[in-house]
Amino acid sequence: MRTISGVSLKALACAVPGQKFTLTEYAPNLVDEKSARQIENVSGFRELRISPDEMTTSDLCVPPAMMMLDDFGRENVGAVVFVSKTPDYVSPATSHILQARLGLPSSVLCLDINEGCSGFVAGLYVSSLIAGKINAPVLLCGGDTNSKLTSPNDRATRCIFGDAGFAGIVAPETGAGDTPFRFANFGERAYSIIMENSRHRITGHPRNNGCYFMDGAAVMNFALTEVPAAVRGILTESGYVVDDITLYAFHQCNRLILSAVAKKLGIPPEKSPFTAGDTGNTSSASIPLLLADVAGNADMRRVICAGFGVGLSVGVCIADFSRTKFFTTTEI
Amino acid sequence: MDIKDFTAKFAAQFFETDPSEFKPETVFKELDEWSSLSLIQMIAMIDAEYRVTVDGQIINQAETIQDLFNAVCELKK
Repeated sequence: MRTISGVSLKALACAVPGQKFTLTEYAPNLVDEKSARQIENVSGFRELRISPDEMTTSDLCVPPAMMMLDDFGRENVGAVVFVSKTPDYVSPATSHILQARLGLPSSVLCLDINEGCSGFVAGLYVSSLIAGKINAPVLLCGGDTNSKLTSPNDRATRCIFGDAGFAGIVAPETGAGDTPFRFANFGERAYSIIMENSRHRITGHPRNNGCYFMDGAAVMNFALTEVPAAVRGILTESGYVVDDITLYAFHQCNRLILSAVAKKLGIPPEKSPFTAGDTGNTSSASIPLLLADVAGNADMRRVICAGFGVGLSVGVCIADFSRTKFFTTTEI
Repeated sequence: MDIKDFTAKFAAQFFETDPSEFKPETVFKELDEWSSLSLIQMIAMIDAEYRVTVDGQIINQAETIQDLFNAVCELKK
Protein backbone atom coordinates (compact mmCIF):
# COMPACT_ATOMS: atom_id res chain seq x y z
CA MET A 1 0.00 0.00 0.00
CA ARG A 2 1.16 3.53 -0.79
CA THR A 3 -0.31 6.43 1.16
CA ILE A 4 -0.36 10.05 0.06
CA SER A 5 -1.12 12.82 2.54
CA GLY A 6 -1.81 16.53 2.23
CA VAL A 7 -3.24 16.36 -1.30
CA SER A 8 -6.87 16.14 -2.39
CA LEU A 9 -9.14 16.05 -5.42
CA LYS A 10 -10.55 19.59 -5.30
CA ALA A 11 -13.05 19.32 -8.15
CA LEU A 12 -14.22 16.94 -10.86
CA ALA A 13 -16.34 17.29 -14.00
CA CYS A 14 -17.24 14.97 -16.87
CA ALA A 15 -18.50 15.17 -20.44
CA VAL A 16 -20.28 12.67 -22.67
CA PRO A 17 -21.17 12.87 -26.36
CA GLY A 18 -24.73 14.10 -26.84
CA GLN A 19 -25.23 11.31 -29.33
CA LYS A 20 -26.56 8.07 -27.85
CA PHE A 21 -27.92 4.86 -29.33
CA THR A 22 -29.83 1.81 -28.13
CA LEU A 23 -28.11 -1.50 -28.88
CA THR A 24 -30.42 -2.27 -31.79
CA GLU A 25 -29.83 1.19 -33.26
CA TYR A 26 -26.08 0.97 -32.87
CA ALA A 27 -25.42 -2.65 -33.79
CA PRO A 28 -28.34 -3.87 -35.93
CA ASN A 29 -26.02 -6.37 -37.62
CA LEU A 30 -25.20 -7.98 -34.23
CA VAL A 31 -28.40 -7.91 -32.18
CA ASP A 32 -32.15 -8.09 -32.70
CA GLU A 33 -34.74 -6.90 -30.17
CA LYS A 34 -34.63 -10.19 -28.29
CA SER A 35 -30.85 -10.50 -27.99
CA ALA A 36 -30.57 -6.78 -27.15
CA ARG A 37 -32.99 -7.36 -24.28
CA GLN A 38 -30.90 -10.29 -23.06
CA ILE A 39 -27.73 -8.20 -23.16
CA GLU A 40 -29.45 -5.32 -21.35
CA ASN A 41 -30.75 -7.66 -18.64
CA VAL A 42 -27.25 -8.90 -17.92
CA SER A 43 -24.95 -5.97 -18.69
CA GLY A 44 -27.34 -3.20 -17.62
CA PHE A 45 -26.51 -1.17 -20.75
CA ARG A 46 -29.63 0.17 -22.48
CA GLU A 47 -27.91 2.97 -24.38
CA LEU A 48 -24.36 3.82 -25.37
CA ARG A 49 -22.85 7.29 -25.65
CA ILE A 50 -21.03 7.33 -28.97
CA SER A 51 -18.73 10.12 -30.18
CA PRO A 52 -19.18 11.35 -33.75
CA ASP A 53 -16.28 10.48 -36.08
CA GLU A 54 -14.60 13.86 -35.69
CA MET A 55 -14.76 13.93 -31.86
CA THR A 56 -11.59 12.89 -30.01
CA THR A 57 -10.82 12.23 -26.36
CA SER A 58 -9.32 15.71 -25.92
CA ASP A 59 -12.62 17.15 -27.22
CA LEU A 60 -14.35 15.29 -24.37
CA CYS A 61 -11.84 16.67 -21.84
CA VAL A 62 -11.78 20.34 -22.84
CA PRO A 63 -15.25 21.42 -21.58
CA PRO A 64 -14.83 19.85 -18.11
CA ALA A 65 -11.22 21.08 -17.95
CA MET A 66 -12.37 24.62 -18.74
CA MET A 67 -14.76 24.41 -15.78
CA MET A 68 -11.85 23.41 -13.53
CA LEU A 69 -9.57 26.17 -14.78
CA ASP A 70 -12.24 28.88 -14.69
CA ASP A 71 -12.75 27.98 -11.04
CA PHE A 72 -9.17 27.39 -9.92
CA GLY A 73 -7.12 29.49 -12.33
CA ARG A 74 -4.55 28.54 -14.95
CA GLU A 75 -1.41 30.33 -13.76
CA ASN A 76 -0.52 28.02 -10.88
CA VAL A 77 -1.13 24.70 -12.63
CA GLY A 78 2.10 22.69 -12.49
CA ALA A 79 1.22 19.71 -14.67
CA VAL A 80 -1.40 18.29 -16.98
CA VAL A 81 -1.81 14.53 -16.77
CA PHE A 82 -3.87 12.78 -19.46
CA VAL A 83 -5.00 9.16 -18.92
CA SER A 84 -6.35 7.34 -21.95
CA LYS A 85 -5.87 4.49 -24.37
CA THR A 86 -7.42 6.52 -27.18
CA PRO A 87 -5.21 9.61 -27.48
CA ASP A 88 -5.85 12.07 -30.32
CA TYR A 89 -2.58 11.04 -31.99
CA VAL A 90 0.08 8.37 -31.47
CA SER A 91 2.38 11.40 -31.24
CA PRO A 92 2.44 14.06 -29.89
CA ALA A 93 1.04 13.22 -26.49
CA THR A 94 -2.48 14.56 -26.04
CA SER A 95 -1.41 16.39 -22.86
CA HIS A 96 0.56 18.75 -25.18
CA ILE A 97 -2.56 19.35 -27.25
CA LEU A 98 -4.50 20.05 -24.06
CA GLN A 99 -1.86 22.47 -22.74
CA ALA A 100 -2.39 24.66 -25.80
CA ARG A 101 -6.16 24.24 -26.08
CA LEU A 102 -6.66 25.09 -22.42
CA GLY A 103 -4.26 28.05 -22.37
CA LEU A 104 -2.05 26.50 -19.70
CA PRO A 105 1.38 28.01 -18.97
CA SER A 106 4.24 26.74 -21.16
CA SER A 107 6.06 25.70 -17.97
CA VAL A 108 3.66 22.83 -17.14
CA LEU A 109 4.77 19.21 -17.22
CA CYS A 110 2.78 17.34 -19.90
CA LEU A 111 2.34 13.65 -19.19
CA ASP A 112 0.24 11.01 -20.96
CA ILE A 113 -0.56 7.70 -19.24
CA ASN A 114 -1.69 4.79 -21.41
CA GLU A 115 -4.21 3.09 -19.14
CA GLY A 116 -7.81 1.95 -19.39
CA CYS A 117 -10.33 0.93 -16.77
CA SER A 118 -7.94 1.30 -13.82
CA GLY A 119 -6.77 4.63 -15.25
CA PHE A 120 -8.68 7.02 -13.00
CA VAL A 121 -7.02 5.56 -9.89
CA ALA A 122 -3.59 5.47 -11.58
CA GLY A 123 -4.05 9.06 -12.77
CA LEU A 124 -5.17 10.23 -9.34
CA TYR A 125 -2.11 8.59 -7.80
CA VAL A 126 0.39 10.09 -10.25
CA SER A 127 -1.29 13.51 -10.07
CA SER A 128 -1.26 13.39 -6.27
CA LEU A 129 2.44 12.48 -6.23
CA ILE A 130 3.29 15.37 -8.56
CA ALA A 131 1.03 17.90 -6.79
CA GLY A 132 2.54 17.01 -3.41
CA LYS A 133 6.10 17.14 -4.67
CA ILE A 134 5.92 20.42 -6.62
CA ASN A 135 3.35 21.99 -4.26
CA ALA A 136 1.11 23.09 -7.13
CA PRO A 137 -2.24 22.02 -8.60
CA VAL A 138 -2.29 19.31 -11.26
CA LEU A 139 -4.95 19.12 -13.95
CA LEU A 140 -5.93 15.46 -14.34
CA CYS A 141 -7.76 14.72 -17.60
CA GLY A 142 -8.79 11.43 -19.14
CA GLY A 143 -11.36 9.24 -20.74
CA ASP A 144 -11.74 7.37 -23.98
CA THR A 145 -13.44 7.24 -27.34
CA ASN A 146 -13.78 3.48 -27.00
CA SER A 147 -16.30 3.23 -29.83
CA LYS A 148 -13.58 4.07 -32.34
CA LEU A 149 -11.73 0.90 -31.36
CA THR A 150 -14.53 -1.66 -31.23
CA SER A 151 -15.05 -3.84 -34.27
CA PRO A 152 -18.49 -3.40 -35.89
CA ASN A 153 -18.56 -7.21 -36.06
CA ASP A 154 -17.74 -8.01 -32.41
CA ARG A 155 -20.76 -8.18 -30.14
CA ALA A 156 -18.73 -8.67 -26.95
CA THR A 157 -17.18 -5.20 -27.21
CA ARG A 158 -19.47 -3.31 -29.58
CA CYS A 159 -22.52 -3.63 -27.31
CA ILE A 160 -20.91 -2.50 -24.05
CA PHE A 161 -18.44 0.33 -24.66
CA GLY A 162 -19.32 4.02 -24.61
CA ASP A 163 -17.33 7.26 -24.80
CA ALA A 164 -16.69 9.94 -22.14
CA GLY A 165 -14.10 12.33 -20.77
CA PHE A 166 -13.34 13.91 -17.42
CA ALA A 167 -11.16 16.54 -15.78
CA GLY A 168 -10.25 17.18 -12.18
CA ILE A 169 -7.97 19.37 -10.11
CA VAL A 170 -5.63 17.59 -7.70
CA ALA A 171 -3.96 20.03 -5.34
CA PRO A 172 -2.05 20.30 -2.06
CA GLU A 173 -4.38 21.00 0.85
CA THR A 174 -3.35 21.73 4.39
CA GLY A 175 -4.96 19.22 6.68
CA ALA A 176 -5.97 16.82 3.91
CA GLY A 177 -5.90 13.31 5.37
CA ASP A 178 -4.29 10.12 4.13
CA THR A 179 -5.27 8.63 0.79
CA PRO A 180 -4.11 5.03 0.62
CA PHE A 181 -3.59 3.48 -2.83
CA ARG A 182 -3.02 -0.10 -3.84
CA PHE A 183 -2.20 -1.54 -7.27
CA ALA A 184 -2.13 -5.11 -8.53
CA ASN A 185 -0.90 -6.01 -12.00
CA PHE A 186 -1.15 -9.20 -14.00
CA GLY A 187 0.77 -8.63 -17.21
CA GLU A 188 0.73 -12.36 -17.89
CA ARG A 189 -3.00 -11.97 -18.56
CA ALA A 190 -2.54 -9.03 -20.97
CA TYR A 191 -3.98 -11.06 -23.85
CA SER A 192 -7.42 -11.20 -22.19
CA ILE A 193 -8.15 -7.59 -23.23
CA ILE A 194 -5.97 -6.49 -26.11
CA MET A 195 -5.88 -4.70 -29.44
CA GLU A 196 -3.81 -7.12 -31.47
CA ASN A 197 -1.89 -5.65 -34.43
CA SER A 198 -2.67 -2.13 -33.24
CA ARG A 199 1.04 -1.12 -33.34
CA HIS A 200 4.37 -2.80 -33.94
CA ARG A 201 3.80 -6.29 -32.46
CA ILE A 202 2.19 -8.19 -35.32
CA THR A 203 0.53 -11.57 -34.90
CA GLY A 204 -0.52 -13.83 -37.75
CA HIS A 205 -4.11 -14.43 -36.73
CA PRO A 206 -5.22 -11.38 -34.76
CA ARG A 207 -8.54 -11.42 -32.97
CA ASN A 208 -10.50 -8.31 -34.05
CA ASN A 209 -7.53 -6.97 -36.03
CA GLY A 210 -6.51 -3.59 -34.57
CA CYS A 211 -9.68 -3.32 -32.48
CA TYR A 212 -10.41 -4.46 -28.97
CA PHE A 213 -10.66 -8.16 -28.26
CA MET A 214 -12.03 -9.16 -24.87
CA ASP A 215 -12.15 -12.65 -23.40
CA GLY A 216 -15.29 -12.18 -21.28
CA ALA A 217 -14.83 -15.35 -19.23
CA ALA A 218 -11.21 -14.50 -18.39
CA VAL A 219 -12.23 -10.97 -17.40
CA MET A 220 -15.03 -12.26 -15.17
CA ASN A 221 -12.65 -14.73 -13.54
CA PHE A 222 -10.11 -11.92 -13.01
CA ALA A 223 -12.72 -9.52 -11.58
CA LEU A 224 -14.07 -12.13 -9.15
CA THR A 225 -10.63 -13.01 -7.80
CA GLU A 226 -8.37 -9.96 -8.02
CA VAL A 227 -10.80 -7.10 -7.32
CA PRO A 228 -12.10 -8.53 -4.01
CA ALA A 229 -8.49 -9.34 -3.07
CA ALA A 230 -7.36 -5.75 -3.74
CA VAL A 231 -10.33 -4.24 -1.89
CA ARG A 232 -9.87 -6.56 1.09
CA GLY A 233 -6.15 -5.79 1.04
CA ILE A 234 -6.53 -2.03 1.20
CA LEU A 235 -9.25 -2.31 3.87
CA THR A 236 -7.07 -4.51 6.07
CA GLU A 237 -3.97 -2.38 5.63
CA SER A 238 -5.93 0.79 6.42
CA GLY A 239 -7.62 -0.71 9.46
CA TYR A 240 -11.13 -0.57 8.01
CA VAL A 241 -13.88 -3.13 7.55
CA VAL A 242 -16.32 -3.26 4.62
CA ASP A 243 -19.01 -1.30 6.49
CA ASP A 244 -16.66 1.62 7.30
CA ILE A 245 -16.63 2.66 3.64
CA THR A 246 -19.36 5.16 2.76
CA LEU A 247 -19.36 4.48 -1.01
CA TYR A 248 -17.83 1.89 -3.33
CA ALA A 249 -17.14 3.52 -6.69
CA PHE A 250 -16.41 0.48 -8.83
CA HIS A 251 -15.43 0.79 -12.46
CA GLN A 252 -18.75 0.46 -14.34
CA CYS A 253 -17.66 -2.49 -16.50
CA ASN A 254 -21.15 -3.98 -16.58
CA ARG A 255 -23.85 -4.66 -14.00
CA LEU A 256 -23.25 -8.40 -13.80
CA ILE A 257 -19.57 -8.13 -12.86
CA LEU A 258 -20.17 -5.18 -10.55
CA SER A 259 -22.94 -6.89 -8.61
CA ALA A 260 -21.02 -10.18 -8.44
CA VAL A 261 -17.94 -8.43 -7.02
CA ALA A 262 -20.02 -6.39 -4.55
CA LYS A 263 -21.91 -9.48 -3.41
CA LYS A 264 -18.69 -11.39 -2.90
CA LEU A 265 -17.36 -8.59 -0.69
CA GLY A 266 -20.63 -8.30 1.27
CA ILE A 267 -21.29 -4.73 0.06
CA PRO A 268 -24.97 -3.71 -0.05
CA PRO A 269 -26.22 -2.61 -3.52
CA GLU A 270 -27.00 0.93 -2.31
CA LYS A 271 -23.30 1.43 -1.50
CA SER A 272 -22.08 0.09 -4.86
CA PRO A 273 -24.26 1.83 -7.45
CA PHE A 274 -24.40 1.05 -11.15
CA THR A 275 -25.15 4.28 -13.00
CA ALA A 276 -23.81 3.55 -16.50
CA GLY A 277 -27.04 2.16 -18.00
CA ASP A 278 -27.33 4.98 -20.52
CA THR A 279 -23.63 5.60 -21.19
CA GLY A 280 -21.95 2.19 -21.52
CA ASN A 281 -18.59 1.11 -20.18
CA THR A 282 -16.50 4.27 -20.50
CA SER A 283 -13.23 2.78 -19.16
CA SER A 284 -11.22 5.36 -17.17
CA ALA A 285 -14.13 7.86 -17.21
CA SER A 286 -16.61 5.50 -15.58
CA ILE A 287 -15.59 6.16 -11.96
CA PRO A 288 -15.60 9.97 -12.45
CA LEU A 289 -19.05 9.75 -14.11
CA LEU A 290 -20.35 7.65 -11.22
CA LEU A 291 -18.93 10.04 -8.61
CA ALA A 292 -20.45 13.06 -10.38
CA ASP A 293 -23.80 11.25 -10.64
CA VAL A 294 -24.11 10.29 -6.98
CA ALA A 295 -22.21 13.13 -5.25
CA GLY A 296 -25.37 15.08 -4.38
CA ASN A 297 -26.90 12.16 -2.49
CA ALA A 298 -24.06 9.94 -1.34
CA ASP A 299 -21.83 10.12 1.71
CA MET A 300 -18.48 10.98 0.13
CA ARG A 301 -16.32 10.93 3.26
CA ARG A 302 -14.66 7.57 2.76
CA VAL A 303 -14.92 6.38 -0.82
CA ILE A 304 -13.25 3.34 -2.30
CA CYS A 305 -12.51 3.82 -5.99
CA ALA A 306 -11.76 0.49 -7.67
CA GLY A 307 -10.68 0.47 -11.30
CA PHE A 308 -9.85 -2.79 -13.07
CA GLY A 309 -9.38 -4.02 -16.59
CA VAL A 310 -6.84 -3.83 -19.40
CA GLY A 311 -3.33 -4.80 -18.25
CA LEU A 312 -4.76 -6.75 -16.61
CA SER A 313 -4.61 -4.32 -13.75
CA VAL A 314 -6.39 -3.24 -10.59
CA GLY A 315 -6.08 0.15 -8.89
CA VAL A 316 -7.89 0.97 -5.65
CA CYS A 317 -7.79 3.90 -3.27
CA ILE A 318 -9.70 5.16 -0.24
CA ALA A 319 -10.35 8.87 -0.63
CA ASP A 320 -12.25 11.60 1.18
CA PHE A 321 -14.30 13.42 -1.48
CA SER A 322 -16.58 15.20 1.01
CA ARG A 323 -15.03 18.59 0.15
CA THR A 324 -14.63 17.87 -3.56
CA LYS A 325 -16.71 20.06 -5.86
CA PHE A 326 -18.57 17.92 -8.39
CA PHE A 327 -20.01 19.48 -11.53
CA THR A 328 -23.03 18.27 -13.49
CA THR A 329 -21.95 16.16 -16.48
CA THR A 330 -21.95 18.08 -19.76
CA GLU A 331 -23.28 16.75 -23.07
CA ILE A 332 -21.26 17.83 -26.09
CA MET B 1 -24.42 -29.95 -3.50
CA ASP B 2 -27.14 -31.63 -5.47
CA ILE B 3 -27.79 -31.67 -9.18
CA LYS B 4 -31.44 -30.63 -8.88
CA ASP B 5 -30.50 -27.44 -7.06
CA PHE B 6 -27.63 -26.78 -9.48
CA THR B 7 -29.92 -27.21 -12.50
CA ALA B 8 -32.42 -24.76 -11.00
CA LYS B 9 -29.71 -22.18 -10.38
CA PHE B 10 -28.40 -22.74 -13.90
CA ALA B 11 -31.92 -22.22 -15.33
CA ALA B 12 -32.41 -19.02 -13.28
CA GLN B 13 -29.73 -17.30 -15.39
CA PHE B 14 -31.98 -17.38 -18.46
CA PHE B 15 -34.83 -14.99 -19.19
CA GLU B 16 -36.49 -16.39 -22.28
CA THR B 17 -36.03 -20.15 -22.10
CA ASP B 18 -38.76 -22.22 -20.44
CA PRO B 19 -37.46 -23.64 -17.12
CA SER B 20 -38.76 -27.10 -18.11
CA GLU B 21 -36.06 -27.23 -20.80
CA PHE B 22 -33.33 -27.44 -18.18
CA LYS B 23 -32.46 -30.99 -17.12
CA PRO B 24 -29.16 -32.52 -15.98
CA GLU B 25 -28.76 -34.06 -19.43
CA THR B 26 -29.46 -30.78 -21.29
CA VAL B 27 -26.70 -29.92 -23.78
CA PHE B 28 -26.73 -26.30 -22.72
CA LYS B 29 -24.65 -24.82 -25.55
CA GLU B 30 -27.42 -25.91 -27.95
CA LEU B 31 -29.99 -23.69 -26.21
CA ASP B 32 -31.10 -20.75 -28.37
CA GLU B 33 -30.46 -18.35 -25.53
CA TRP B 34 -26.93 -19.62 -24.77
CA SER B 35 -24.33 -16.94 -25.63
CA SER B 36 -20.94 -15.67 -24.54
CA LEU B 37 -22.84 -13.65 -21.92
CA SER B 38 -24.30 -16.86 -20.49
CA LEU B 39 -20.74 -18.07 -20.00
CA ILE B 40 -19.88 -15.17 -17.74
CA GLN B 41 -23.24 -15.43 -15.97
CA MET B 42 -22.39 -19.05 -15.10
CA ILE B 43 -18.96 -18.08 -13.76
CA ALA B 44 -20.68 -15.50 -11.51
CA MET B 45 -23.40 -17.92 -10.41
CA ILE B 46 -20.95 -20.71 -9.57
CA ASP B 47 -18.72 -18.26 -7.70
CA ALA B 48 -21.62 -16.85 -5.67
CA GLU B 49 -23.38 -20.12 -4.94
CA TYR B 50 -20.51 -22.60 -4.69
CA ARG B 51 -17.54 -20.36 -3.85
CA VAL B 52 -15.42 -21.66 -6.71
CA THR B 53 -14.13 -19.32 -9.42
CA VAL B 54 -14.12 -21.46 -12.57
CA ASP B 55 -12.41 -20.43 -15.79
CA GLY B 56 -14.18 -20.36 -19.13
CA GLN B 57 -12.49 -23.58 -20.26
CA ILE B 58 -14.24 -25.61 -17.55
CA ILE B 59 -17.60 -24.48 -18.90
CA ASN B 60 -16.58 -24.86 -22.53
CA GLN B 61 -15.45 -28.44 -21.94
CA ALA B 62 -18.76 -29.44 -20.35
CA GLU B 63 -21.45 -30.77 -22.68
CA THR B 64 -24.34 -31.09 -20.26
CA ILE B 65 -25.43 -29.39 -17.05
CA GLN B 66 -24.48 -32.63 -15.27
CA ASP B 67 -20.93 -32.39 -16.71
CA LEU B 68 -20.59 -28.87 -15.38
CA PHE B 69 -21.98 -29.90 -12.00
CA ASN B 70 -19.42 -32.74 -11.85
CA ALA B 71 -16.59 -30.33 -12.72
CA VAL B 72 -17.65 -27.92 -9.97
CA CYS B 73 -17.86 -30.82 -7.47
CA GLU B 74 -14.36 -31.89 -8.49
CA LEU B 75 -13.00 -28.36 -7.97
CA LYS B 76 -14.60 -28.13 -4.54
CA LYS B 77 -12.80 -31.26 -3.31
